[in-house]
Amino acid sequence: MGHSYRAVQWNRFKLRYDMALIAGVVLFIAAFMGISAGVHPEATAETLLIRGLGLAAIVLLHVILAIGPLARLDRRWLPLLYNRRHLGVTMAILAFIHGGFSILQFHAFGDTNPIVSLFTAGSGGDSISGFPFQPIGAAALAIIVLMAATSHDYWLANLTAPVWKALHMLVYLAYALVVLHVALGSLQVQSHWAPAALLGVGVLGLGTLHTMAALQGRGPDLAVPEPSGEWVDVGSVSDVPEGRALAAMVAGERVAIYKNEGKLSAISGVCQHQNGPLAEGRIVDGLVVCPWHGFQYRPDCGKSPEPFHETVPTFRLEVRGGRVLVQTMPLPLGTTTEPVPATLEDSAP
Amino acid sequence: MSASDEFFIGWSADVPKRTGAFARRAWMGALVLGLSIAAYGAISQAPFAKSRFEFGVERTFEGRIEHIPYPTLVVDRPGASGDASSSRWLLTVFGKRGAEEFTQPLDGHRVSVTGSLIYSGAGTMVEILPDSLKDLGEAEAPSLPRPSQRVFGPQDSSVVDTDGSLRRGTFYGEIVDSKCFLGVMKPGNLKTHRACAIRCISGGVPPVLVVRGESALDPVTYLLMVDEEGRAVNDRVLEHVAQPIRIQGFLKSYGDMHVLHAHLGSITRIAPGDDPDI
Repeated sequence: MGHSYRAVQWNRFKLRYDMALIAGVVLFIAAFMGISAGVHPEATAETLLIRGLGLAAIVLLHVILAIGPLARLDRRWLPLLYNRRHLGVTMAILAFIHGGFSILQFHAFGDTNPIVSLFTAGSGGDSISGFPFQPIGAAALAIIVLMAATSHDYWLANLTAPVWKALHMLVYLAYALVVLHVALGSLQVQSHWAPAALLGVGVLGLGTLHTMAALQGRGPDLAVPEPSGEWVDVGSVSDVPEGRALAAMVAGERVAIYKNEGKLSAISGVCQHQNGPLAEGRIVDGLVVCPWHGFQYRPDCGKSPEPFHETVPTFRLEVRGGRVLVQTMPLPLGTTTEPVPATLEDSAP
Repeated sequence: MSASDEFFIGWSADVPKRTGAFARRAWMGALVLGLSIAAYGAISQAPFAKSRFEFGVERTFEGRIEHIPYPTLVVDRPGASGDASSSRWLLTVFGKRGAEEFTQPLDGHRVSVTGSLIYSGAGTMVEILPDSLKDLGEAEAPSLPRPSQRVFGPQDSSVVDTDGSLRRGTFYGEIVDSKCFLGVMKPGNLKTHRACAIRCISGGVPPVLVVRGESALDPVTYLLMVDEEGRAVNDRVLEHVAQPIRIQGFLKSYGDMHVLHAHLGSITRIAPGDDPDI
C-alpha cells in the first residue's frame, strides 16, 4: 500500500498476533516431543524433531487454508486473515527445517550429492504405495518457500496483482502435494489409524469450508441483474446503508455502491491489493476501507489517499424512481464522479 | 453492536472490543485443537526399536579383523566356549559409508580401534574412527570353524521363519542397511527410511535381510547378505531395499553372525495381500 516498503509495519495487534503464533508453535512442538519421549522412550530426538516439525507445518497449513473461507463466512475471522502471511512465513520456516533436516538425515554424508539423492534414491517402487514421497515433499516445499519469499507487498507491486495472485494460488497445489507426501510416506509405515484419520478430517474439513464459502459467494453480489441499455438497475436507494456498500455484478464486473454522508458513489468491488471484496468494507474518515488488509480508496475517484497510489475504476451512477442505476462501462482509472444524493428523486433528467 | 457489526482495520492499533475477544477465543480454540493433535500424533506413533547408538561415546576395542566379506571385529569372550567364545561386530565409519577401505589391509590382524557402539538385540556394530586403527600383528588362526565349514540345516533352530518353523531355502523379509537398522536411526527400516538405506548400502554399509515376526515388537532375525559365492552384494540389491521380498539362498554361521548366501536372481517383491507361504 505504501510508496516505500518496510519488512513488517508493526503495531500492537501484530505484535500480539505474532507472539501468540510463536507461543502456539513452540507449545505444539514441545508437546509433541515431550509426549513422544514419555510414551516412546526409545525414540530418537532427530526422528521426533523431523516428525514434530512436519506435523506442525501441516497443521499450520490447514489453519492458513481455513482462514480464507472462514473470513468469507464470518467476518469476525478477518483479524486472522489480515496477518495470514505471518502464518505462511512461519509455516514455510517449519517446513524448510523439516525438509532440510530430513535431507541431512536421509541423504547427506553418503556417496552422492544429497540433492541428487533426494530425487533418485527411493524411486523404482512398482506400486502406488511404493511411489517415492520425498521428491513430492520437495516440490511442495519449493512452492511454499517461493510463496513465503514473495509474500511481501513489495513483490505484489512489482509482480503485479494478477501474477502475484496466480503465484499464491499455487498454495492449493502445494497442499495437494503435501497430502500426497504424507499419504505415500509417513502413513505407509503407521500401523495406527489415527494419523490417516486426522489427515482425512483435514482434507474434508477444508473442502467443506471452501465449498460453503463458494456457495455463499454466489449470493446477492453475484446475482447478475437484467441489463437495461447501458445502465443496470442494481437495487433500491434504501438498500444502501450509510457508510457501507451495496454489492452488485454489473456486466460481469463486481461493483460496490457506497453511501457516504447521504451520497452514492460506485467503484470497483475488487481491491487492487489482493482482489479483496471492497463491497464488504466500510467508509472510515470519508474513505472506503477494504475489509481484508485495510487498503483505502476515495469513493468519488477510486484513488488511494497520498502518498499511496493504488486506484480502482469508478462507474457512473444515477438514481431514477428510487432505484440505483450503474453504467456498465467502467470509467478510465482516476476519473472523478460526482456523488449522487441517495434520495427518491431522480438524479438526472 | 455485535462483533459482526464491528469493522476491524488491520493497520489500526485499536482492535474492536468484541472482535478482539473473538480472536482471543479463536486462538485458544486453535491452541487446544493443535495440542490435541500434537498429543494424538505423538501417542499414535508406531513403537520404536529397542536399539542404541552411543553417539559421542567413544570406547576402545581389541579384536581380530575379519571380512565376511564385510569388515567385522571378532571380539573374544573370555570364559565362554564354542560359538559364544567370540562375537562378531560389523564395522562402519562416520556417515553412510562402509569401513572396508580402512580395514582390508588389516584382514586377519589383531587390532585396537576406537569407536561408538551401535547395538540392538539383533546384533552389534562399531562406528570406528579410522585413524584410531592400530595393527597389533597378525592374529593366530581362528579357533572357530571358518564359515564354509558350517551350514544351517533342518536340525538347526537358531534361524526361524516368521511362523516359528524352521526354514531353509526361501526367506521372506526386508533388505535394510545394517547401520541404521541396528540403532542409528529409528525407524531404520520401512519406506520412510528407504532412501537412507539405499544411500548407506550404496556407500558400503553391509546390507542385511531382516526377517520379522507378526508384530513390530517381535524378535527379528538378522541375516548379513552376500551372494552365492560369498561376495558383497551392495550394488546389486539397491532396487529391492526396504520392500517386502522373498529370496532363495542358504545360511552359514560365522560364530554368532548369520550370513545369507542369496541367489540374487530369485528376489521377488511380495505384493500386499500375498501369502508368503504360497
